[in-house]
Amino acid sequence: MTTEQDSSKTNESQNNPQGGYDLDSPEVSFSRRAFFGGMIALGGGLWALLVGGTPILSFLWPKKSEVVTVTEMTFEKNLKDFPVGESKNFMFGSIPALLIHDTNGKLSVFNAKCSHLGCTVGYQKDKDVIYCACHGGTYDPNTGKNIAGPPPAPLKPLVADVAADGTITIKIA
Amino acid sequence: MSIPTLKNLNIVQTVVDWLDERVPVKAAVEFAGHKEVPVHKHSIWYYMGGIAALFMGIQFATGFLLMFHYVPTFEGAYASVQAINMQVPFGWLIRSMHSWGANVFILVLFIHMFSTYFMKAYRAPREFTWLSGLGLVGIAMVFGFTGYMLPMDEIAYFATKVGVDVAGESPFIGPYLAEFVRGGSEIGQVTMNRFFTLHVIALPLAMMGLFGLHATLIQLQGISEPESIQKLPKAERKYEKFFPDFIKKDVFVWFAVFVGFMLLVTMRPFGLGPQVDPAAMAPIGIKPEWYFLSQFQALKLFPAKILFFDGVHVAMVFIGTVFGSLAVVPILDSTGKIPFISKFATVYGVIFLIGWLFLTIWGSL
Ligand code: FES
Repeated sequence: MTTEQDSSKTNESQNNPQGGYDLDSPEVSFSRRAFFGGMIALGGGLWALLVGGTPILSFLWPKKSEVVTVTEMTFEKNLKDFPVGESKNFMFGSIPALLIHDTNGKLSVFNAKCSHLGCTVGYQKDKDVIYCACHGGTYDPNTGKNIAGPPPAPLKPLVADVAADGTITIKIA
Repeated sequence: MSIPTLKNLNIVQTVVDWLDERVPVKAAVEFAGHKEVPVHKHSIWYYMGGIAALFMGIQFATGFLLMFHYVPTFEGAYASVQAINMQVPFGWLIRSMHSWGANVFILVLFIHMFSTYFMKAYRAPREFTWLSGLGLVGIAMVFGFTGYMLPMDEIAYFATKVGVDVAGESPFIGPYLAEFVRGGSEIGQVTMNRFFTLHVIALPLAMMGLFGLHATLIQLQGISEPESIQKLPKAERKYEKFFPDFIKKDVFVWFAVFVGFMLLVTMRPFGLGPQVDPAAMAPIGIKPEWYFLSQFQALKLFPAKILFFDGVHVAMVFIGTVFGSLAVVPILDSTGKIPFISKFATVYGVIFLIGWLFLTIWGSL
């Protein structure tokens, strides 16, 4: 009789139209406990991550770097001492730059940062190209256009102005 | 109560007993005594892990010494390494050991990795041993990369530039990641602080932790036998005691390797390139250390654009997938019960090794 009573009780609770489950049955309360335990662990973890992570990450985050921004500078050499075929790598503020007195007799000046992975490019007089030694990227010395190798984009141009006395001024484009 | 007389007092026994009550020494010795190492024609590869551990020790010791003279500043680093090389008594020796040691360490790790791969030692229950080993190789390479920058010679500067820019090409977080690693938009003192801290604090801790796990797992699970040996009847399989038989040979191998290493280190002291000039173009023929040559060559080979994608991105996905596969393929083959996958893992390993060697040699030309 007892068995019958028990089973009927179980049936009754399973068919309970409101709750659906018997919240006092061991399985249910176990899974509920596990669920709440899990939530607390997850919540606690997230909280720790946030509370611990925020200050640590902010502490490590680089502050806005003090880039030496230069908009204009006088080049170290006069045009007279800088004949055709000559080139020079120099710093324009904090960016590496490259000035070339190219074969057309024109002065070309570029930001010398390779568009591939940031190495500094240089002029190769014998081949008349701008070359990046890191992965063999090549650029046109007149236009800065990428012509061979991995670089995906042209070099960024700067501007070179020549005064009447031959003084060369480098400016941002 | 009998007072121990000098005659019946066994000092060693007493000390051991005293200690054993506090630290389970007897259990440890007992454990080591039971441990056996398989003896067969592939046994030689069992020494590689020990040799790698030896070089890890050499790196920790020499690195620790170098820190007494090295100056981690953007301006002063080069001069300090130069002084270590030329003025500090035996500085050249310690630095040569550290720089050569890094190269040999990684070489030995690669040999250890490939030998365990081909012996299929990664199979259940040793998956975590494999993965932790892979993690150790990864940490060793980051060690190499960060250590590379510290002397601030030409190659240091451009290798760092390229390495960080590669990270900067990662999807979505790339630019933030590069900025974070560099500590700004250009390589400078902040970058140096970051690399130095990683190199001397974070990476050593990570390596010790992971090595602890790796070594513990090996102790717990015993040394794996290649399939061909497992198949042999019990009577034909030979073993030797780990302690003292294997250890004796291990120490001898260490000694021999160390002597060879010291010959290399003293006959060919590790040099220092010209000081970096941030304005100057990257020197023609610049190359990373040999263990990055395969990635370097791959970066060179991918053109600017592939269909709609940037070549760099495709190259990165390619490099990432290939190296990531070293974590995936062994796990697929972990049961060793599926003949097709088992075969595939072997063939894959051979292709990987040949491809890697090919790109590395090509990159060095
Ligand atoms: S960085 Fe210039 S070609 Fe790669």
